[in-house]
Amino acid sequence: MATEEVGAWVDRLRSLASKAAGLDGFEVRGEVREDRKYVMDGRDVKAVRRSRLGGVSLRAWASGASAYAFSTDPSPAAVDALVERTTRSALAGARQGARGFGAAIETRKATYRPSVKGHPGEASHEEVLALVRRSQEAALATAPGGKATSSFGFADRRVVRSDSAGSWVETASLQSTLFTQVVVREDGRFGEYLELAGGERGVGDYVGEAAPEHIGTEAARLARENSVAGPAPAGRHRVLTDHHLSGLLAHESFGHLTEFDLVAPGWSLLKGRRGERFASDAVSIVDAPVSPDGRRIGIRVPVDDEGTRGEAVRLLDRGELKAFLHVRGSAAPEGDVPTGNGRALDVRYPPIVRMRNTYFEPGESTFDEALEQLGDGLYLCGGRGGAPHSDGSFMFTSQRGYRVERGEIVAPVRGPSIYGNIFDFLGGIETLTSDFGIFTNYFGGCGKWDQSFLHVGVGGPHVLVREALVGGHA
Amino acid sequence: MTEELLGVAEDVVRKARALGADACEAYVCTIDGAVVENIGPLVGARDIQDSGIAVRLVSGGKAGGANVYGTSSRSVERVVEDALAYARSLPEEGRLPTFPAPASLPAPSAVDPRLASPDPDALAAEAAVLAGALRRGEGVTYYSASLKTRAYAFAVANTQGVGAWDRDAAQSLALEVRVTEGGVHRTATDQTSGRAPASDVRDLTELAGEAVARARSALVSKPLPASTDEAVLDPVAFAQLLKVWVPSLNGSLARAGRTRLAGRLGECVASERLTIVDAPQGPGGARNQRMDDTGVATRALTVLRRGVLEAFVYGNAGAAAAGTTSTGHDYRPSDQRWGGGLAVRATNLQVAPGTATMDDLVKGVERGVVVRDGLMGAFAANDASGDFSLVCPLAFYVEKGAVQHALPPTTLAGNVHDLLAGIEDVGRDLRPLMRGGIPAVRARGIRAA
Repeated sequence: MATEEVGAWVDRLRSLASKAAGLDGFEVRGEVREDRKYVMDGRDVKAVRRSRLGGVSLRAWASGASAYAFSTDPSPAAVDALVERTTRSALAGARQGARGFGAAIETRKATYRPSVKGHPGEASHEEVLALVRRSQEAALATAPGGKATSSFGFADRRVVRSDSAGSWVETASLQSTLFTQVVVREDGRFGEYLELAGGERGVGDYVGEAAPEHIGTEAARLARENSVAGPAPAGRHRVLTDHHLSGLLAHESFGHLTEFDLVAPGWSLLKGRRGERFASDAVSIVDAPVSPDGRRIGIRVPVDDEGTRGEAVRLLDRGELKAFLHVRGSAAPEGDVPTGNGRALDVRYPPIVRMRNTYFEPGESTFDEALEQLGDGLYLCGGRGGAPHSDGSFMFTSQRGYRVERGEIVAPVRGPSIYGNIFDFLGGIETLTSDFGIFTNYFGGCGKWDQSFLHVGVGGPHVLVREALVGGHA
Repeated sequence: MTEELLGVAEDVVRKARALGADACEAYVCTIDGAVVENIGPLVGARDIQDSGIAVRLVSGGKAGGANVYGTSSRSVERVVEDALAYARSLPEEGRLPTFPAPASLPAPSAVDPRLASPDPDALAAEAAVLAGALRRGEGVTYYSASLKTRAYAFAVANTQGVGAWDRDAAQSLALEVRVTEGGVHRTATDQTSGRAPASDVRDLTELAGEAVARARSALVSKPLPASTDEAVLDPVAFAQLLKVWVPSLNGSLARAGRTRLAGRLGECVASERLTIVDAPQGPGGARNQRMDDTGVATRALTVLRRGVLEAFVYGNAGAAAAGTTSTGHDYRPSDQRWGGGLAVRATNLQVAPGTATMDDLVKGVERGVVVRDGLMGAFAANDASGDFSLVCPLAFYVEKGAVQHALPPTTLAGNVHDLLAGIEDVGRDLRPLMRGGIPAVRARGIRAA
């Protein structure tokens, strides 16, 4: 289905919804999305798949209650039923006194398109598989006895959005990722590592540190290193986190607490604390629609799924809580402007407050200076994921780590989890380096409620924290 | 509806053959569901009526696959064309899919009619009861309650002659509550999942009250005096760690040497107190199907009997490579089942219950911890090696069989294979969860610090 067909579908639904009685407002979203995945296992092409999604959704508001439904069936009967179901649910919610964020619809007209080198949707299978094969060969050459899997995937998403105020916004986005995972068994011990590069990248954008040879070699090298790594010492330690872990920290430990649909109901302990200081002047955390250095290494959300233009939001500005992330309906009651964070997994889900590229701003130290300042502690790298808790605590898991003594890396340790409380953690940041990296993964992302996994970017510099609880390994 | 889906699946196969496919399999599925989430006072409702087709085929010695939304004739044409185009444009031969032959299937399982056609208004009313009970709890400063119902109907057809349909439906409940007193916050969560409305299984008001009481009981805490290697895990925590172990049951991964169970069939790999059956018809679990997603009949499979590894699980491709037969474990794991590829996995683990109550399990602890809630970070555990390093947000210190005091969030680290080997006792009460019917356990070999 082409974007034009979705547009016609959206137009028809908008026309029907405008005739529904009792609604305060509505918005209509149509989407056509294509995903492709290429997988190599050993030297075999294991799978090549193409997945299409197309549909329209209707979100309707009535007396403070909202309802959401979607259809992947373009038939007139299905569209009629969609309007009827959504209207009925919104009105039923209003009668029961259910309350959500309001409509806050405004008029916008805009079109956005990505620009990449070699859109993978237009590349031949041979070109795409060549990337996968190069990474796989590099991995198998570096760990000859190891097991390697490499994969390339991308999502090409086109959205048309309209509403009862007459807005019309068309957007196109691309997220792709190349990864290699290696498992080795040396002297009876397993080691595993997954290396990847992703973002708004075309086939021709996988160069430099995103080059397939680099990804494959690093995955194999670090899997072998993990197989001989010793256990991480459990307990409280001084910790230096790399770019990726720093990004997880910014996203999990702080970013979620600034999502206003978690602030308003009291989940976030940041409710009512705007203007409060949580860290030193050196610490700032930003959520931005594009990566800060302009390179296509994060995600790109120039306009969100509510049609709001994305702006960079300084959540923590030189240690002080400055702003929250909003959907359109949550901003006005708080006296804020919409921030462009209304994002949906796809047309089957309503937009909720989601982060985009969330990162610590770099500081001034070099990596060597930070290591020296760490003294005795742990240098933790890479991330398998993390989770925040409503009491301000969080945990995330590293992919690898190193014991550091007197400012020198002395031995690898198996990547432990790290646990802390956001308020202690931010207050304990001693140094941020001047280098910077940001990461995104088509095959994973952020989970919130039943919308998992949404593509996000996480990043920052190396961050030195005075103390964190490290889980270690038995 | 199910017969209609089978007609669509057979239509896909016919079209693929007509356009030159040598072999083909079609999976057609519809979902009827509803989700209600109460995030504090904010209420969100979502209606789900979704459908789609997944195709795998072989053409000219090459494999292709495609998925598409909808089940209309246009969707049928598009998905066949996409899959054929993929197969034909591949630069080399990949691994070819293996399609099963028809087999006799048991009768379809009964589906609770209240789940088969979810009523969003009834779901909203139940979620409101749960949310209201949480909100009224003493010291509650945040609560959330969500209920999800999904009813699936699906059909599979292939060029080997398979043509069958099935259906299943489940409801899951999740809650979170935070209590605050004197500036101290403690959180408790709970969940249940099964083939009947959650309110049939648990009284929702009692469930809320129990969660509030659990959180309140940890408001005053002291650190663990010293690290320990003995723990009682409640069913949710044990289920989370079993999830890390489940991939090692994949026979293909074991043959490739990718799991710690490789080469250990017939050996004792866990405590003799542990017997685990993958039972598609058991209570709890993600699926209740008479056939897997390729049409192979499912059956109860004992994977672990008194600690001895009795079986690996296989899908069609892995079984063919191993010279054995599929155990009926090819599943489409995503919520929107046609939207992804096949994965081999055990879905409904039933752990044979022991005789111990939760109190009995605690009484058996010399010096350790009892975990009374889900674990933070279990999803990030390493299922290749089995290593985990995570946090218990709600745990208590136990000495000489008696709970001494609540703990602040405490780390728990180890390897899931060592954990299963170190199980000393198994609880008698199975909790219906997405992972299956799971009890509490007492184990050694995992370090709390």
